[in-house]
Amino acid sequence: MQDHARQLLERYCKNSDHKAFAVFYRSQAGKLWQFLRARGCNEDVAYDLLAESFLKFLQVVCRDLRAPVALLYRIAINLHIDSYRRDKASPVISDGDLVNQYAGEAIADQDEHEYVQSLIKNLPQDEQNLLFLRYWTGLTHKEIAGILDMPEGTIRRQCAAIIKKLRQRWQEEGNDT
Amino acid sequence: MTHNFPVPDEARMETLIAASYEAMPVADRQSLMRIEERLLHKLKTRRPEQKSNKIAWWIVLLLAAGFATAAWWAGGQWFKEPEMIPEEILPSGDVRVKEHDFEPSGPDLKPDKEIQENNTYEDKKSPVIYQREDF
Repeated sequence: MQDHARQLLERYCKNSDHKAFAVFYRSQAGKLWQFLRARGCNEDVAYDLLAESFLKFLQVVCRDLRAPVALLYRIAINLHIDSYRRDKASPVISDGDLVNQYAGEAIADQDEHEYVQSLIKNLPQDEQNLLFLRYWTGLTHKEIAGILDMPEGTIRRQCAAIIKKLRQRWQEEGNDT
Repeated sequence: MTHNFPVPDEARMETLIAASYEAMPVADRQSLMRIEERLLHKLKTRRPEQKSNKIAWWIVLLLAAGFATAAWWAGGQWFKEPEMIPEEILPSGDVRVKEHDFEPSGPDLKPDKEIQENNTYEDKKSPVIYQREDF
């Protein structure tokens, strides 16, 4: 997926191929919006940040085409942090609507997927971001390390630790019966 | 919160995590399209960043070529005079003759033996231009 994104942006940068950029936008915009929502933005703010992220992305992407998706998410995270500082509002798990939609309301009738969602929602925001980038966006450990400005080994260890923690909770809650 | 699901292994857990995100709310298609139109409109009025970088490199290349040409021209002027005027030729066109060039080399130009041995000079072929007076 990352190679495909890089090829599209190479076409845009070298040949001014706007259609290639449009394809890249369509492949990333939805997930980036979900990512911003998962970080606590409301719908409108998520759209605004999405547009601003892509605008900034356009200004810098042609300078370095090695990891364009990682660059896009890094820009979005930085813009969200700026927005949070401006508004002085908490970005973490503050959106009740999202929690209800995402985690599911009826825990009693939940299936396996809904149960996993509820487990993820109980994780700290940083760990949720990490899981999102790794398992939903499909970024590699190295690319996530570039986004979060952390060593690749740390990201790898954190991912393994989160999986282990989720399995542990799964086991504990299953043993209660 | 209790359940009866078997504990998944790591690979299964990763699959379940990825699948759980599919239930997240999705962005409104119309809103995304509007943002896309705005972006594409901006793209049409602006060239990619990489193009302007290439222009900068062209300017650097032209400046370097200009300096190289100037240096070559200045160097040509500097070394022009010594190269154009040989040591043997004077500005008036006369030939500057070195001392060693006077040594006779041909048979006609060798000094007469009379002059060398008798130490008296009497050149019959040429008019006398100087004669010692006898007192």
